[in-house]
Amino acid sequence: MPVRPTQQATFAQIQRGLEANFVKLSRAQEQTATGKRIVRPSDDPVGASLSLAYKRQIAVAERYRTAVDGARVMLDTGSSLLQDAGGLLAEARATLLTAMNGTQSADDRKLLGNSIKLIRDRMLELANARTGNRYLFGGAATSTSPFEETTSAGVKTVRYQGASQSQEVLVGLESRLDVTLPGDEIFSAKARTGTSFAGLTGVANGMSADQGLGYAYLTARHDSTTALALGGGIALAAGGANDTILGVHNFVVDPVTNTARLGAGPDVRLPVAGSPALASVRLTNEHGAEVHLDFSAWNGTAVNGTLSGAGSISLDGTNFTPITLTETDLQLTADGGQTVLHLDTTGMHRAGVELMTFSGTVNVFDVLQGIVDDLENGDGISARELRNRLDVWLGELDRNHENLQIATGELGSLSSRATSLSTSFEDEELAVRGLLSGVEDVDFSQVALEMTRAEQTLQLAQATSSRLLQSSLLNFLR
Amino acid sequence: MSSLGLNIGLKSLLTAQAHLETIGHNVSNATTPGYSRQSLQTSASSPLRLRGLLQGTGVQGDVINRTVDALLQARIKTQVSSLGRIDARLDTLSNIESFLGGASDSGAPALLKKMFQSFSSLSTAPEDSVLRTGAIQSTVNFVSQINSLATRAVELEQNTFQRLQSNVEQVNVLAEKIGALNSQIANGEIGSSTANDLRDARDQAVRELSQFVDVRAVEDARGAVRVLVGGRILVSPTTVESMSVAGDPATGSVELRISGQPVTPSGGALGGLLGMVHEDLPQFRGSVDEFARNLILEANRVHSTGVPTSGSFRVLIASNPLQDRNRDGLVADELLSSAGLPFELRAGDLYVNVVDEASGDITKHQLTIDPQRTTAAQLVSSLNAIAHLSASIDAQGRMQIVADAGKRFDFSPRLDTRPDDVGSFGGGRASLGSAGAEPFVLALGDTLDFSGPAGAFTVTFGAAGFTQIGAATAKELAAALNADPSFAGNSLVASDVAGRLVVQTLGAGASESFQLVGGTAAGALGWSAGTTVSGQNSAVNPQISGVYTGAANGEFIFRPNMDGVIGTTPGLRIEVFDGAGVKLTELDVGPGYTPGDQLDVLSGVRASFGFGTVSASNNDVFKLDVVADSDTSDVLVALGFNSLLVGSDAATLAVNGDLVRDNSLFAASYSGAAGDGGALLDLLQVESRGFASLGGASLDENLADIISGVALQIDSESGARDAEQFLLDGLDTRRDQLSGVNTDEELVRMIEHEQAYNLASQYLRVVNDLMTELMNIL
Repeated sequence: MPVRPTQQATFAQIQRGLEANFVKLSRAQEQTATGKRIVRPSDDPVGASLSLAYKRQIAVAERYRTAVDGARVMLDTGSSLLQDAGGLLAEARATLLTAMNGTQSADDRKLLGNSIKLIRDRMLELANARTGNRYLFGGAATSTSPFEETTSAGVKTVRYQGASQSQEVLVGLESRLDVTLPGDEIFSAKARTGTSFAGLTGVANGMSADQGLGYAYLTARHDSTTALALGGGIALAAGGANDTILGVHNFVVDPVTNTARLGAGPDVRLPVAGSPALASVRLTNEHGAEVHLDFSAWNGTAVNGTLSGAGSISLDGTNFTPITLTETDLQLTADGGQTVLHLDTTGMHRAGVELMTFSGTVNVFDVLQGIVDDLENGDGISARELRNRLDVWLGELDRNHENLQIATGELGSLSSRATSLSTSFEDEELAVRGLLSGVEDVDFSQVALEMTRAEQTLQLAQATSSRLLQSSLLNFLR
Repeated sequence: MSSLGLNIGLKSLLTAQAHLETIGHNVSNATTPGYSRQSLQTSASSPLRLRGLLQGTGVQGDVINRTVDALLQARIKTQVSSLGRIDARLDTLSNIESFLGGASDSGAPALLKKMFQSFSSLSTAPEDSVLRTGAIQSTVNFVSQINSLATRAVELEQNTFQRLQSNVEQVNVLAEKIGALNSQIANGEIGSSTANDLRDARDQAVRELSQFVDVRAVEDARGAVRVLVGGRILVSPTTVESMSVAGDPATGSVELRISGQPVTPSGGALGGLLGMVHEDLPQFRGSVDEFARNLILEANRVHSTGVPTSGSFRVLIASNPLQDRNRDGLVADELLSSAGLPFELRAGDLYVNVVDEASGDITKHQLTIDPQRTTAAQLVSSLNAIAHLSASIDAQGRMQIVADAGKRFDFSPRLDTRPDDVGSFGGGRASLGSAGAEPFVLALGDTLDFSGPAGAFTVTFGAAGFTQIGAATAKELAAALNADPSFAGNSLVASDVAGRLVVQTLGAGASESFQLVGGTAAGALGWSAGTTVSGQNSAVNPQISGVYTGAANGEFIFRPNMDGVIGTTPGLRIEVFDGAGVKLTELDVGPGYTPGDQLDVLSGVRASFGFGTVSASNNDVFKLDVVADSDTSDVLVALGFNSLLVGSDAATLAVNGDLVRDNSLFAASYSGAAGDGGALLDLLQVESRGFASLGGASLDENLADIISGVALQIDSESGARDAEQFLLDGLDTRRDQLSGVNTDEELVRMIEHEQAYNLASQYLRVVNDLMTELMNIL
């Protein structure tokens, strides 16, 4: 069919052309005004769905990053506090070593005890530290103070009342990061290595297992002395009431040197005859067990006798169990059955207050408190017993120090993991933002070019259409 | 002779005049839409026999034709319908796109992101009340955005219905016009003339009608056009029917009718709008509702098993009421699967923890729920059977659970830290357990002979209390024993531990003891006659810690492998079995074990045992429930206990009002500790975890898919529209080329016919001269 142009067709065509050009121009203008290539999703559905996916990715990365940054605050603060704590423990250790030096006097030791008390109080403050309103070392129980001080049987102990799980944040679809460490893992070693005794009374571990935490003072009490073989007119002074021997002990009186000796103890020179001190002569053996003998009726002969002391033992200071010194597995309980102790009493030789520790379970505050108590020497213990006890405390202190260092390391590595996660999320966010911009944002130079082109096309179209519209045969007919 | 010449001249003049008039008509109507150019058909008049010659008699005008191609018209009509349909669809789709707001910062995807961002901030400090308020507020914001989506969708449906109505009115007006033109054309074409302009007008009316609805126009022999829509007559040569719209857009049951009979056009604006109302809009609403449902389901699944910051619950009321489907006036007898609950239940378990306020001890209880068999009343009674809890259904059909004073409850999966409730594992009481688990093969009249502090006595088992004595359960046996007066009188108590019967003294300590003298039932329980059982002073008190990381719910059953003392007896081990009796692991509690130390059992569970004696010959045992998902039946979600979101679709979606009023009810943890955000972390994963019900997509992907779906549709429809427009333009151009007026052409023809007129007038002058000559001769 031959082409036959008509006015109407031509007009319609011109109109459509101009309209199309104008639409292009206004679209370019819309893109420049919003800065976005995709103003409505239907402008480029594939691009729009890509941009939605990128935006999702960015939001997720940002979300993980803020969670990790929140965790970092806790971890970094906790880490630096634990380093402070390590320093405090080192200071305490040095003070303890000074105190163990035999040349210290009681007053010197009291002063040292005071400085350790200050260290303990400072440690407790540190363990109950907060950032914002959140307790750092209570595990997931961040609203209550994790370590609480109580007094039981006259001994100040600190109990952990936080949670055993730590708080976590989400740092990946299925991965979580711990934000804290539970305080009991940091401040008390939990690996039980057995029950140990300071060694004053000669009591030892029984055959059955023990159950308990921390430390306690075992009180071995002397109940009565039985003279198995006295001689030469020697009698028990005050009926044996002030003695501290337990078990069978040998004693020797030598008239030649005028001394008496208990077991392998020092020779005690007897007072001169007639002196009132003869009524109560104190003999001690090599362990410090005492016996008081009345020499006022002594006939001056050599005596080689035996004495036997009977007693009872208590874990909590109020309930005493009599001991026969033949038990190998005597059971003592306390705290309503929480603490169960089995003792071998066959080696006991004297009464006294024995320091018993469940090795490896004493928390750092109780160790320091124990040191303070012993340095103040409230029990009236001898210098050698004090030394023994301080040795025990030193062992526990070292265990706690090691534990603290391990915990510091753990927190440090959590903190560094948090830092590296934060950086990687930041990098991911940045990269995806770049991709998003590539899809979504308008390339200004391209749009400017398109606008110029559209404008030019529009002008050309307008010019040519006006020429076409004007030509008509009528112009040439007269 | 002369009259013929004059006649020829006259006819020539008149014909030329007629030509000129036609040309003038064409030129005046050059811009009239739908005008087809007309031309006068002329032919030579019939010859006369004159003077032995067949003489021609000049020109005559026959008929004025219009140049039109009927097939082209039909094709244009079809094209106009297609375009009309696409235009109507595009309009509605653009509307949807604009209120979805996919690309903007205040649209649904952006608000969903902000909601989960606020949850994530809360997870860094779950006990912070300000962050909690923020989390709840951003949830409210997102929820209202989804609500408004639902409202706008409904409005759009209403809108579309109104457009249908107004389009149908237009259709009726055009139909009337075509009918009128039909009768005018029939009247005007009597004879052999053609009513060209009327036909043009009718063609134009049909074209306009095609824009609204696809029609078939058939012309009959008498020149009238019959218009059919979807097979039904709209305009007949004699009558005009009317079209109407009926139905309710809310239910999607909209229908077009012609004189009462339903008709379904597929093209034109009406076809497009009908398609939208029937398919696209309900589909869109359905996908938004589906998204909302899945969000509610998954968010509530996590939240309902969490523990709020303010602690476990004293009272909990369901948000979804039960409905009386069988109309008997009671809701309690409805099966859970048909009680009108918005979500479906599955057959599964529910674990309830009862917490003692003072000590913090929890006891776990397991309920089995089968929605096809369990009625609401049965659920209430099994909740009531849990010690210290009472459940009921209120007047509105909502279930509620209340704890006794000093007790609280929750549904968290956390582990029971003291699972040995009765002390049947190395406890202080004298304890004798059955050798195997239920069922026990007993017979009627079987006895158990005991000797207790008050003397020897016998318990006989009758039929009462046993569903089937040959398969007696531990619970039934314990109940029967506890009901016996001499049993209780001897301070003995019986219980069911992990399906085993355990008989114990009421008091604890080394002085407590009793003896199983014998009895016919002893063998079925694995007991030997003459067994003496004593208590002890130091109880083992097994303790559990840690978080269960396994994937399935189950139970761990702990039994010692021999008689021995914890931490002392060589070779003493605690064996751990699962509910089916398969041995999972064993724990060494011999001399190398320090009582009180924690041992790793399995999957994050740790156990510690204190100092004490355990006895395998007395069948010491305890059970630990390990729970991965404490509500596998979804009963908490269906009833609406401890929900974060309430509602069942996009319009009814809302945040639980209790949480808005008191934000400390937001359940962030599983353990109840202030800084534990365990449940919150699971809630965070709801956004990006793939769900089978969404075909493996996650919730945010689902929302993005809805938006992209609309965008893709718009894009493809736009492309189709451009193509159809292009085709229509081409057809219109061809029509113009055929039937349009070219002014230059008309001018040329005008000159041609003007010259013809001049020639004719010259000829007449010559004929007149001849006649005058003749007259002069006479």
